[in-house]
Amino acid sequence: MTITTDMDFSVHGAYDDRIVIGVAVNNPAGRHMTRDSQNDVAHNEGQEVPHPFLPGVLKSGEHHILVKGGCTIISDLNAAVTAEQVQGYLDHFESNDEGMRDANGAAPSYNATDHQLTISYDVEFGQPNWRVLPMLWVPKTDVGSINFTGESNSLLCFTRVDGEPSAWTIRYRDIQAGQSADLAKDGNICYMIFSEPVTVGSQTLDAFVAYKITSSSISISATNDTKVVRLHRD
Amino acid sequence: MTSTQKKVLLRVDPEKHAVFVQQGLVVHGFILNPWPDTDAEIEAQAFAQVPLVDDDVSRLPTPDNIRREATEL
Repeated sequence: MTITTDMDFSVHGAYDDRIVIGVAVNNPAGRHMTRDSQNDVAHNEGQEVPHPFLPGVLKSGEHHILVKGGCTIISDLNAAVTAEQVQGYLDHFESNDEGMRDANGAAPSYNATDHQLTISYDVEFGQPNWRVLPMLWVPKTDVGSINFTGESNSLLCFTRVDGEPSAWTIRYRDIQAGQSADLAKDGNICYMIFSEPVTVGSQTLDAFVAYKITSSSISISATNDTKVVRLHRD
Repeated sequence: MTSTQKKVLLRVDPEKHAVFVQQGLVVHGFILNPWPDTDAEIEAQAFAQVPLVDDDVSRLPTPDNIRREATEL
């Protein structure tokens, strides 16, 4: 099992022994990451978590989100994944919030000859409500890759390292430039991460830092288009 | 092209015989059985489990260097 990448990643911090943040910031088009094993889909403690009713579909690691630029995700599906299962996944993808459609959507395509699924999208900021991460569920595949396609691309990674990754609920939402938003705490232990600096009153919150939310909510103002990731657990 | 990502030993759980190693984007969790006797052996065995994609296995930054207390809001 191997992960190969030329993305310029750096670890920003391990917060409270719970959340580790790593970010590839402003990487050019063409940078990529590939894996050749299902086990490289990390953060489920090395376990495959099957979808409750879609065969051949597994839960993703729920650990990253593209916050700037665009990308193409290519999955070489396992031979055991049937064309019918792929179609079931695509139907599910298009019909509910567990897909990765952003404001203008992302169109997946399936190449039956190569048994390959390709999804491309550009980051947008049109989601005003908390929602699941893009690609929460993915077809079972060993070989996969993500390739940056935007002029400048940033990928935010947030991993749970308290040994109970499944105890966490992860959501994200957008705040457009010049807008303000009240962000509610959820759960007993709650963190938020911002993709751009934002302000709370006179306080500036840095991008790519985990802030522990102890108030019932915080009111933030965004200067730039911003994605907010919220992680919480009991 | 190959990775230049460092490996970081994030967490060691002797009770569960579990270790967590971060390499670039990914955190890998492993069970070491039998549990090694020394910290050096724990680290060596944990790193040996992580896929190598180049010769750079230096452990930078160390966990202490990246450990933070989150600011409360």
